[in-house]
Amino acid sequence: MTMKLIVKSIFAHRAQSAALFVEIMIVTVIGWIVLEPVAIETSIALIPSNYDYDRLVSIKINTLGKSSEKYDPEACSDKDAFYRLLDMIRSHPEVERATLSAYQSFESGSRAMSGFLTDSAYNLDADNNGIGTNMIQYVPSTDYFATYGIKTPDGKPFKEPVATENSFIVSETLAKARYAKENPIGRNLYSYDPTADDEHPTPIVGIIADTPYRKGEGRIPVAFRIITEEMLGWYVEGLTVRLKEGVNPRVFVDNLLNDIDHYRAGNKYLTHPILLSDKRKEVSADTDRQLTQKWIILAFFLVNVVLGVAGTFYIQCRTRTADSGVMRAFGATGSDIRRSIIGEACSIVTTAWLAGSLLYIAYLHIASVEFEYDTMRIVEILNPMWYDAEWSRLSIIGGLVLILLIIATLLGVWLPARKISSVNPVDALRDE
Amino acid sequence: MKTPGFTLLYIGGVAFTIAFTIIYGIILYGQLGPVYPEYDRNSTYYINQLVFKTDNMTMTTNLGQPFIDEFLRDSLKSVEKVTAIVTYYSDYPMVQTEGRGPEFHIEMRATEPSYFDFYKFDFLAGKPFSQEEFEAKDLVVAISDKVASKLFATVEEAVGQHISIDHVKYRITGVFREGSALCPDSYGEAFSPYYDRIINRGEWTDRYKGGLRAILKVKPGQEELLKKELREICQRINAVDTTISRFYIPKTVSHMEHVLGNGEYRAGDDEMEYLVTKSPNIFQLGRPFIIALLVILIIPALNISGLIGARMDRIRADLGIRRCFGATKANLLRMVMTENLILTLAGGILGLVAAWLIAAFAGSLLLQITPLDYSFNGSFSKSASFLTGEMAFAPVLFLTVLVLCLALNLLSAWIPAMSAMRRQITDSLNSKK
Repeated sequence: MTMKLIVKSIFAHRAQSAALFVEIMIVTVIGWIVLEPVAIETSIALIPSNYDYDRLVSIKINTLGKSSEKYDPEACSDKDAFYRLLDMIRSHPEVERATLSAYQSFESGSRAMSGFLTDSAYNLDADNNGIGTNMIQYVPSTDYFATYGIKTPDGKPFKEPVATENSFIVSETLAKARYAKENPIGRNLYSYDPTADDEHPTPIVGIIADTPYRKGEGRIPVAFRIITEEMLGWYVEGLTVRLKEGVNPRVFVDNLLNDIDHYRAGNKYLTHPILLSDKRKEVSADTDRQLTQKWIILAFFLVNVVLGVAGTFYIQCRTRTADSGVMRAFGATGSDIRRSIIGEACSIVTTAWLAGSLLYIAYLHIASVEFEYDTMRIVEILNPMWYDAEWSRLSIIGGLVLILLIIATLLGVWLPARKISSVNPVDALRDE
Repeated sequence: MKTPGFTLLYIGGVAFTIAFTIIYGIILYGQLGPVYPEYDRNSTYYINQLVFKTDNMTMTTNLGQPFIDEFLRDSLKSVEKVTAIVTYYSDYPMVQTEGRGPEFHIEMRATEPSYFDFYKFDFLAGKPFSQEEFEAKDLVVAISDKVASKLFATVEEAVGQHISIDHVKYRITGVFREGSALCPDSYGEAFSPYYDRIINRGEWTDRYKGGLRAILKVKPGQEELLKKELREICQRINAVDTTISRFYIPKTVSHMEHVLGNGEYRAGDDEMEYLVTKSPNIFQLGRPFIIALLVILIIPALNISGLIGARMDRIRADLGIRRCFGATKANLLRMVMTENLILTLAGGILGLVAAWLIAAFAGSLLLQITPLDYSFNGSFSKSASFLTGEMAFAPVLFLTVLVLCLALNLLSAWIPAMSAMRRQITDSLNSKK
């Protein structure tokens, strides 16, 4: 009976209902376009790091230019300067641990990737049997893993193994990708590219829990390789410091900035201390900004939906008030009337959402739009996410769009519905 | 005003749309319009890269100073001025305060004296570094008023003093009024000669390759001649230099292309041809913005159209009575459209004021919504200004508000008003129950 009333009412106000229908259909399509990247990128950004970056501070090591008065042509070697700076910062009373960090390290703006062959047990074709990996360099025996607080796959602190120049510590997904059944420790990784310089097999000496290289990097595995002493000057970017429990990292950075002139060794000096959590935000600033833009655009259209729904129903208050008076005179309660009005708004929104969604999905298929967030096949097998399969992605995004539209609709229709339903039937009938 | 609910929703809806659009407009104007110190954007062109191909390798580099001196400076007939600046933002230089407070980061750019002739900086004290200082490789710097006020009591006091940047002491030659970080080609908190930052480090002393980009001011109407001259340079180099199999200049872009192109169009195999024939025009580059603007306008227009449609139903009887007394359809249409235009203009003014307030109190946050991210190749210091008064109060913005209001009015009111006019007088009178 209520449904029949709703259909009759929509038909009676068909001009306004049609305008609202078209508007919501367009907003649905925009909702799909905006929400898909927002939902997927937010999921990727939420993949947890396997280290605690809250008490970590990154400090750059710079070199004095020859035009500086402080430049010393007879200064100690780069290697000695790095280790002296490391010792100086370790002796700071608020520092728990410190290590040297390379340009290719966690939360870095730059990165180096390598590809490795996967296990034939996965039966992947030639195009898909590789796994891209973010390479991280570290200086052995400098407390690197303990400073970052890196864990093993079963959650225990990772103990740095003895490693050589030609060995890898890898994250769990990479280890499993190469060795589906055997224990990977001591076994070799092979380059995916047979023409690559490093095609020779490289043994795995340690496995850590999966962790993104930096925010937004998703499920791409990581592999650690040591920096030899003679290459320190090329690869070391600065220091990473873990502060003691209870130390306020921002106060530590502010105090260090006041005192940083003292941290100099040879021609190297410390500069630009920054919380790793801030560096993380800096590195992902572009992606975050694009996400914010998308949210703002979506918010603009949702506010318009609220205004559109409110306008359509508010302006009909007077005519609907008379109808409502008649209904109430015949025994309908205020909540019956409110339900009928909200039902009417929701019916328009749901139908428009359905039409808009079908339009968008048809466009995706007709225009053969490629899915932007495709990842490596082996990663999808070992570490699946909700958006890998098309059916689950479409259902979840479509559902989210509908939920947002319904919320906007309820916000818009609530006041007019209350106004219409609270009228005194005698007053309404007298106006009639 | 008989229907305050309608008036409120109508004006509110229009204001919301106009505010949203104007904020984009302010940002766009800041990046494209003639604002301090980039007043000649209409005639500004950029050469960012050179490409060298050998049989087995393609190398893309920035420009070297010898290339700029030999081939661009004083030898292009189509060009009035040439300057050069280091392409990248420096590697996070810090200012040492020597006990006067914590170290702080500044955006330091490396350039040459002609830069200050190219961009019209206001020097509040002192002057830019001179050609003599540049050639003598002096350690000199021009700093912004904001940096000067952090370190010295007055801007006048700063001139002649020294500032320690990355432990190198520079003599301050002048203090300029800081521009907007929305203009990355001219934004900086300190400018020093590139001799120190690049040449002294032994980088890029090649005849062609280097770390610079050239900025050209083209004479009026000489854009085609510029392209012809650049092509001749490529042909000359290709004919003489046998060490490279092919040399070309892949991108020579106007300021508009530089901003709107957003790095999306790239040269393919026919870069030489691209230079001559395939430069995208403003409509191609601006298409995403035009589509975005239309979508942004269509949704509120639909909203307002729905509102007006509902209101037309209510005043249909009044319209019938007026028509009985001799009012023509044109009279009534004019009446309805004018009434809506007044409401739309009220919404427009409210939206403009709201946009100004947002720009004044959340200027840097606004950059979150700009789709133009060509400028963000550096991390700006926290004190950087983005939106300035000349951007927010540009006359073109007032015109835009007016055009948007007219467009909204036409888009939203025309159809419901025409539909109401088409009804028979008797039908209209009968609608009054």
